[in-house]
Amino acid sequence: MTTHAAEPAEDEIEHRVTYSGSGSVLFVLIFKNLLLTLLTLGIYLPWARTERRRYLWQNIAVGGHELRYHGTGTEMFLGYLKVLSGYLALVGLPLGIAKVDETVGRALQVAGLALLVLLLPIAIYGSRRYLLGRTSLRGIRFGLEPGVGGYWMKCALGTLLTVVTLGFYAPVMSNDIRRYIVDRSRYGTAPFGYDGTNAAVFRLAMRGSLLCLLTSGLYYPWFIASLARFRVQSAYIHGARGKLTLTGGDVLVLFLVGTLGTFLTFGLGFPWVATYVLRTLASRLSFVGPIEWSAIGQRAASGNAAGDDLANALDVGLEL
Amino acid sequence: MTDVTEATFMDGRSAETETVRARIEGPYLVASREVGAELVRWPIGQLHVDALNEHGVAHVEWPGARDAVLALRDPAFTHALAAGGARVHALPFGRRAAAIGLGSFVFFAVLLGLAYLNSGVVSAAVARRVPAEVERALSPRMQALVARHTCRTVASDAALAELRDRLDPDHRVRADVRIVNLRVVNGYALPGGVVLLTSDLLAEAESPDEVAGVLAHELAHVERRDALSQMIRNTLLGALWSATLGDYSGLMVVDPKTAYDTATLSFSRDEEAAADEASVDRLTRAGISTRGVSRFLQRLAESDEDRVTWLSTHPSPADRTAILAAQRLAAEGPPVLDANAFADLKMACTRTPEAGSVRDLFF
Repeated sequence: MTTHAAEPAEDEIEHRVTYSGSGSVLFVLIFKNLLLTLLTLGIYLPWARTERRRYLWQNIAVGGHELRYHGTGTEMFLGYLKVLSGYLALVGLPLGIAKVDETVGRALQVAGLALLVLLLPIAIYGSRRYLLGRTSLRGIRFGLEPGVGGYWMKCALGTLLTVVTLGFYAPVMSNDIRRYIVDRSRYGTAPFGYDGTNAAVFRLAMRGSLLCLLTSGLYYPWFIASLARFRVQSAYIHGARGKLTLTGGDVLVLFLVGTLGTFLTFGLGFPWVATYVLRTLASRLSFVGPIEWSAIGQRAASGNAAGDDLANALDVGLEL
Repeated sequence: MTDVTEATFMDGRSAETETVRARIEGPYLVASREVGAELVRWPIGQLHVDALNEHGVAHVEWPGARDAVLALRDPAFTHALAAGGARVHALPFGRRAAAIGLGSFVFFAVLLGLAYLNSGVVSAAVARRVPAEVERALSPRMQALVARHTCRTVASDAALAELRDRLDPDHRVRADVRIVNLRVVNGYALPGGVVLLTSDLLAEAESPDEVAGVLAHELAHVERRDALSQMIRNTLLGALWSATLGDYSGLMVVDPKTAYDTATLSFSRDEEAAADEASVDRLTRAGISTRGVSRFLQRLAESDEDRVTWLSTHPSPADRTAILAAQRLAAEGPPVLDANAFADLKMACTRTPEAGSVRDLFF
């Protein structure tokens, strides 16, 4: 039997992630869209966001194949209208009622704000579901199975336990939530999996917190990097597993470049900063191992734009 | 023109990809294996091409072939498809990109600048059309707080009325002037035409002309509807900015900055300068010397006590003392109130112990 020395073994196949976008094009996109959004008093925003995503997605490649974004401005705009109606009902209506009856108005305001807080997990799940459902690679769409109720319960219970344990439960909660999302994510017919244990993440978090305390916070970038590596390496699909080579030094540099590059240029340098961050993160990310592409079939798109719009309105969107 | 190119075909049914040869045959885009069957024959006029990749990769779709995609890596071939009638969504590159980017940036900055510069005029015009009762109803809690800390005796009311009659003999300014028990040296013009003179301001004043100068200034703010104008301006600008950035909080009736400005009652430099000018006019018409308020401002400027907040909420002391120093009414006439009436004003809060003394009315 003849072996080909140049071909890697199946478990060494690396599907590298790359980002090929440029700061100058992003600058054009951002300012063109800001101008159109300003001129249309905000109405153009869904189309602006869609165009930015299409550009970003098409410049991210996995294993040499570019991602594609299939969301449309129109569906985002309709979602935006739904969210706006809900927002006006929850925030605007109590303000109006307060003019007539202050006590009832105040009670409704508090209730409305409480409801907005309760909607946070639903918004986050809806946003991820919409974004994955509108993303494809090699002609096959990603997706997130329904399960917002379970996600909401995990968030509510996790928050409660985090408060009761004075914050010690926070890393476990975060890991539980991540597992819930990744285990329900899929690429076409192929499910993703997550096997990062709560015990492992708890040890990592305790060690990181202790070192941060001992070094007066200097260890923080290394702590963040170790958590990110753990999360990525705990995710898998078919025979391939996530791999992240991000170091604490990388995080520190990204933070410095991000902060200085944005503030020193009064925000004008943001497109170049974002490009640098995306390029660095992508270059450290890959999936290692075999994926049987021919065994992965298509599935229908999931989610609707209202979830994404709600997440953006509540500032828990991915800001993409 | 490139007629044939290598492409990647994705059938949309599985994640398997296939390298194919793509070519243009008349009105069709055809893709086929090196040897073998034709995989694609799509009418070019109905194609959608996404060419947003910076390495020249373009994704071609035809609505008739659900989920199937052809990825091209040859920009010249993409141009050929565009020339054939395909709808190409591409980003501008090179000089065109720079022109659009810089043009958009400059236009955006100019628009924002114009909106900012004109917002004062627009909001002042809107404010003048809002009835005072509506304006007062905008801040019910503030009005309640003011009422709780108001100091009034029959004598102080009479002294205040005398002062107002001198400054505004026709009662053209619909203002509700009050003395409040506040441990700061300041005067305020609240929404709804409520003017506050603080107990410490009265204690600090050495002559009734000094109080008249401050009151004339605050009455000018009321006459100009500065408080409401400020609220409208901040809300308009906040809403515009929020709509541009997609931040829904801009749709709230009063944004945090407006709430803060209203609570601290700080106006813009232009509004302060205009109120100073108007107050000098008013004092002149009333035959009250501006020397009093000029001396008062100078004394406050030299004070290092933190309870002296007049200058912090009323900016540009240099400009305003310059206006007042001009002293259009140079001669020092008789004081606007006699000694007894002035004493009644100064003692209003001492004689009204139920109006509790506070450091800050709004926080």
